[in-house]
Amino acid sequence: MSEAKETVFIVDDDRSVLKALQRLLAASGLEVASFDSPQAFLEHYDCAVPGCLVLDVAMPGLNGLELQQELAARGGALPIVFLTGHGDVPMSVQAMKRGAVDFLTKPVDEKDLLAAIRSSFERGRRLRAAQAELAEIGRRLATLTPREREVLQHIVAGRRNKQVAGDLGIVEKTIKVHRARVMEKMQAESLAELVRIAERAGIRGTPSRD
Amino acid sequence: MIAASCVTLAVLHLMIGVRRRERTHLLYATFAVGIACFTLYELQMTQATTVAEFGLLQRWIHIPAYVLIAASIWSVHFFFGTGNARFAWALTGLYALLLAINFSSGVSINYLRIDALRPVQVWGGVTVPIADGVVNPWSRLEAAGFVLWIFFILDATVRLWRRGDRESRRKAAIVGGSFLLLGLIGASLAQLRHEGLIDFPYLRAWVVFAGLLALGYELSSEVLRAGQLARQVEAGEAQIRANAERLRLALTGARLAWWDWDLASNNVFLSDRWQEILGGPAQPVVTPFPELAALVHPDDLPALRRTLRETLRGERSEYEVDHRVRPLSGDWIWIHSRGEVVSRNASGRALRMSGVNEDITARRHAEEALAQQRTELAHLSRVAMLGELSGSLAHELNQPLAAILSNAQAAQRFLAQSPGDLAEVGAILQDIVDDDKRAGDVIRRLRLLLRKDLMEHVPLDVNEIVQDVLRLMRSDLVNRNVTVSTQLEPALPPVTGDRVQLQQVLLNLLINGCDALDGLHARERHLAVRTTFANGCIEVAVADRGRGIAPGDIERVFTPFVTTKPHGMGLGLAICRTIVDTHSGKIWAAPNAGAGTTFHFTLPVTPAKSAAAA
Repeated sequence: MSEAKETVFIVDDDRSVLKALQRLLAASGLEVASFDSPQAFLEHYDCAVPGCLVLDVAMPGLNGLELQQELAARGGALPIVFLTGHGDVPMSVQAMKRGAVDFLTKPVDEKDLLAAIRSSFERGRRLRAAQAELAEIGRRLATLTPREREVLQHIVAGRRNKQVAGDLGIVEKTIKVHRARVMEKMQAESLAELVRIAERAGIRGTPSRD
Repeated sequence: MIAASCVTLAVLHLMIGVRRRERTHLLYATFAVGIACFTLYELQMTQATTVAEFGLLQRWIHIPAYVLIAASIWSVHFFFGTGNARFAWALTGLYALLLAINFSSGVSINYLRIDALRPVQVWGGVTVPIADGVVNPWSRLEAAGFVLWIFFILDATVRLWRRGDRESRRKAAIVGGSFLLLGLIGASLAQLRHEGLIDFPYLRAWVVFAGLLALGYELSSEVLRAGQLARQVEAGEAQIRANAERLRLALTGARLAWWDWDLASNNVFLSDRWQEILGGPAQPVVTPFPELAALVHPDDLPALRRTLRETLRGERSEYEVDHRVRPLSGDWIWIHSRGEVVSRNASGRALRMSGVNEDITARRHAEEALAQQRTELAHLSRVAMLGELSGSLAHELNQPLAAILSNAQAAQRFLAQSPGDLAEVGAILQDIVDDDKRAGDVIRRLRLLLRKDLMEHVPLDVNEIVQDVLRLMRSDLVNRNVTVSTQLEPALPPVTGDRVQLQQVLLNLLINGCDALDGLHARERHLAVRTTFANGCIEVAVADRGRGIAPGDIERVFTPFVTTKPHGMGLGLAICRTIVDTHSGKIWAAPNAGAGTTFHFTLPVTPAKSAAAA
């Protein structure tokens, strides 16, 4: 998967901290973009650019947690590493619940910061991969006819062909044909793989009527 | 009988006169003796049987007559104090002349020649002789003299009356009135006899005796009054003694040492309490002023001398100084001394100064302990306040520390990657230095606020204090999402006071302001700080747009343990009031026209003179 180089976005209202972090991360060979306010970041942020966000919690105007919410609302998948002047437990719990990668206390050691950034990149990659897979499954699902989709739901629910035929009121032979088509269209080698793919797509088996 | 009374009166007044050395009484005694003799002569005359005997008596009776006339003139003169002295001398002279005529012409001044004695029947069937003969023409001069005598008495009486006071008028009425009335009666009787309408002699003694009684009455009442006066004086003296005793008791009760400084001798009298204050036996002392001044603490002496000098010159009405003196043993003691100049000479030079000294050592110590407690309370409240801010203060410290760490680690990486890029490393080191200073500043400000010194009095710029406090609170304001606008009047004159305490007041007001904004929308989370200068005072105002304070509570917010906050102690504003009070300022709260409350405090600016000296 070829994509743009991952960038570390830094947002901190304290310019000397911002400058020092930028220097450190640049010297560590990372692509860095720094902003001295959440507003400036939001204006320039392109969600197509992969990477992570190193975010100061306490800032005038929009604080770190509020920016996290704002990004979530925009559907962004940018992993966030929070930096705070003082360890505020409730605040860090809230941040982590909302998906923050880490919550670091200033002054932060480069080791911890770089580790957090690395795991953010990792998470970002996984997220992007998962998103890509999901998109592929969606594309495959879209090729199914309504009847095939119905059959898929029954199969995923673990019902036998005969039972499905009974449920849908069609002959078992026709079910077998539909099933083969579904396996082919969904590019599943086995029933187990089909179930996994369907689960990925959030398709739940149609429950038994008996 | 008249003679006996007269002699008694004469002896009495003679004794009074001699004892008191009073002319009036001596003259009165003479007057009385004159009357006594005159009466005795008249008595003799009533019993005369021959013309020769009668004539002799009539001639000699003029001697006591002269004495009593002269005595009456001078007693009235001295008793009234109003008689015309020349008139008195003239009358005395005239009567002396009449006396001379009496002895050189005819039988007496009354008769040139007495032919026979005629018995006349008076009351009670008694017969007395009267003379028949040729009347001496000089007797007219005697009559004229009598008229002049009456005129003299009248003159003295009128003058006395005109003085107008009750005492004088009473004297004039009783003595002058009696003399005049009796004189006139006497003159009328003489005239009647002369005209031959009545034929009764020897009434003059009665007439003059009545005058003597009137004068005696007055003199006696004068003696009585003198006695009364003496008793009053005695009572007055007792009163003065009682007052002195009361004063002594008051001084003792108030534990005051009274002092009296005689500037001519330069000696100071000090009441017994003074020695007691110094730790000696309670007894009054007289000390030369320089010895007293030598007891005063050298640091306090210049101010004391200056105040004394100004008081002595009259530049200040009262002398009032607190100073230390060295007791007989032990530590310095504090004296509150006050007094004033009690007498000056005609050119205004002070002659005497008097006042009291009080031992205020205990009070001083109590005040110092109170100041100490106040300082500690203010300090505790500051510590508590900084505790509230601790999170933000940690942030304030962490920011530069974070920058330093990241910069240092960046520099290590630069050096590892491209050791030659010293320009970048130099820039990093400069940033590290700056951030280190920034952290140092935070710590310095914190240390200053955590200090626990006694109050300082130094010239301060209020705007600087405002900016210092806002710097200290920056993180807290950010955390609490509160914006602060400032409107600081440029070039404020300095105030005298304690930087830390004034910072504390402002810090307290700003923290309270933030608390008032809790739960409000971000747009309304705003504080405004304003400094202004008017009427010799700098006013600092902190305005919030918060929930405001209930009208009933706005007066009470400065009372200790009154709080509107769920977790407040209610001490912050009480301590603020104490601090502002000790800076001679005022602090108050007022509701805003729109929303919220504005807290104001004023500080008097330092007078230009001392500001220049400082």
